[in-house]
Amino acid sequence: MTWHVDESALGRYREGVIDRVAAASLEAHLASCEDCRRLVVFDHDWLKHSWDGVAGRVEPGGSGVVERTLGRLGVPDHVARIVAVSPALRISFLLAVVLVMGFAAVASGAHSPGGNYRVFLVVAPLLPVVGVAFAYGRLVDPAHELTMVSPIDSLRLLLLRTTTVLAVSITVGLVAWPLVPAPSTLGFSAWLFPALALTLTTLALSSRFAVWLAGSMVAGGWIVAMLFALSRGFEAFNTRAQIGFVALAALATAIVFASRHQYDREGSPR
Amino acid sequence: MTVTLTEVRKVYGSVRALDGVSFRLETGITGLLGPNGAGKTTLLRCLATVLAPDTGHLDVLGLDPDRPDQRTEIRRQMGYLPQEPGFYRNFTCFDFVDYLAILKEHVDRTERHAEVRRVLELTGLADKSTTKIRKLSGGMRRRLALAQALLGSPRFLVLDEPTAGLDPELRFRFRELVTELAVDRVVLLSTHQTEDVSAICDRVIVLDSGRVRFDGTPARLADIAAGKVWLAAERPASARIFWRMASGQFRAVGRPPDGAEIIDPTIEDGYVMLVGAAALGTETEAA
Amino acid sequence: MTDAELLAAIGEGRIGALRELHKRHAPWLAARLAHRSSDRTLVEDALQDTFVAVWRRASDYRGEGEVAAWLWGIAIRKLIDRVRRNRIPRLERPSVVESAEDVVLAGIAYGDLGQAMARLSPELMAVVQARILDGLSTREAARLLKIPTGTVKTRLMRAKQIMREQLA
Repeated sequence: MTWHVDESALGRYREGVIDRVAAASLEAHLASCEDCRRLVVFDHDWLKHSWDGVAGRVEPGGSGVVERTLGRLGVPDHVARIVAVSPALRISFLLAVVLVMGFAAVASGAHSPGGNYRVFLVVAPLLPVVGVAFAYGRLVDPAHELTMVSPIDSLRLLLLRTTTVLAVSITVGLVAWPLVPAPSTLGFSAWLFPALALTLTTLALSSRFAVWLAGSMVAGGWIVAMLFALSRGFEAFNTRAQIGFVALAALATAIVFASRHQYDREGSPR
Repeated sequence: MTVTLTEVRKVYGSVRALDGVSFRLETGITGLLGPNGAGKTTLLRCLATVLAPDTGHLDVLGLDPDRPDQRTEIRRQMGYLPQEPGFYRNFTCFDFVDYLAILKEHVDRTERHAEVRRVLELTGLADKSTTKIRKLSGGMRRRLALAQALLGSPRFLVLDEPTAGLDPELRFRFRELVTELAVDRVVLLSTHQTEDVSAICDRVIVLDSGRVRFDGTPARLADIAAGKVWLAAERPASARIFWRMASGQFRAVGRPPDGAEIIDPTIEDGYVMLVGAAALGTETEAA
Repeated sequence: MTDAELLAAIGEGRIGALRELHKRHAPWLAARLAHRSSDRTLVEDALQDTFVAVWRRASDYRGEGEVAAWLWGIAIRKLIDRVRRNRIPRLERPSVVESAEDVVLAGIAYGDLGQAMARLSPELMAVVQARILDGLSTREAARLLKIPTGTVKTRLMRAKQIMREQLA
């Protein structure tokens, strides 16, 4: 570089009172001379403001599929983030739900003539329970302590995530149900009501126990009860059973409401 | 602005984690010292309203954590740095703090992002905002946890071992930051480092086996060991604790023999006298 | 760190490196853009677009030529996009240098050339600036100057003819 820009030329350039040729010359030079670029005067506030604009667009991470889907459904972005953070809503988990449901549906159909639809009706209601257990709690959420201590009500958080898990499970269930060779007397409610009852019971127990423990107890209790009923020939899915499930769901809801302040704190109430 | 505990007790099975703890915190920095298992984390969790004590009463900034609506209000005005802050390792620093800002009810995205950048800048993490947490060192993660505690400029800060794993330069910067913040805030800082206490704490509380052993100024804590610290040429027999210094002499804390060269005590000496005595079951100095 | 090293760091996701690059280059880029568009907001937005694009495509820089020139190539095209209110940014390949004259015209030392260029009218100068100095394609230059592509071509030919006459 045999010549460099002089400051007065830069001044004239900035003010726009420089002639075109000199401007072109200066610009071309700046594009390849680091020292002269440093001479370009700027306002620090302006630079900060400009940088803030860039950083504002570059820093926040891209939202995942779940968040964007929820956004399109009209969910505000801060709610979508709370929901999407839970491990239960990662694509891998959702895929697992779909696979298990599908497998259960096919297995019920493939067994004996007439199929054993009961396989589906025992397994499928547990899926939202497992989903809830993976959506909240110390075991699955590394930031659980910070989550509990935040002003946002933990029960609200748990309910938001549970609703999403249920919505997904019900959707997948609706798709899988036609594959299940259930007798015509049984409608979709045959697994919907147990699913709701079990999920709500898990929520109710979560006021006293960790979510994963509540989920395990519910799942264990359900399987034992079903095996017992089926081995004794009790009909576990007729209308009377359905009413029982609805009652259980109502009871669980009442318990959740009564304990609504115990979700965001550990330790026994006094 | 005060935070008061009255006769707080918490029992886990047969362990009395907190055994009748009472004290009052005011504006400024209070240090909480104590050996492992003393109940510090349990105490901090109670103050952070995460844990409900079995008996006793808490008053945080005039609010009662037993009442749900007041508990939420406490949480709005409080910043908490837990002992083991969990992170979403695949998140970037920015996204993690942003998520916690959402939990702290910062609903408006523009305002929230500005607040996230503010706390990242305060803790010196602005240039790491787009780095994933799993690539950060332990010290940086600690700073990140501190950053989230500062969201919303809370009036009450509960910091559980904030300087653990920080190198001296970062500890120094932390002290600068906290002293500035504590001008008009209540800060409770649990630590193992007595240097933190002597450097920035207006008050220090020593907790051991769930009880308050000392509640006063750092200078008074040091005074507990007044006349009980000496230099010896050989391994001292009557020392509670001693170590060899670079000069070859031994620095001992305990019961000095006649004619020993007595030196001025540090906070650490006072702490050792206090906690050592408690561990041995002998009489302790009253605060 | 050199600019190229900064770009490598940006490619690794280090925002501090982008900030440093911004500090070094935003001032002169802003000044140069301001000489292409009098709309301050447009210039500011295009400037920010540029660095956001750099964040996403730092790895596109293949080490040929100065980083500053590469940045300018992005910046001027972002400005054009904004001028056209085009939401989808496209980074077109810089125009291929067509002839020996272009090589000379694009050179750094302007001595005699400066005299020759001084003879050009503002319209012809604008085309020379867009096509040769800023490295835009005919189509891009047409968009920036808001004239038909045919006009760009004829004006450029005329400009080169005038300058050749001056230099002869």
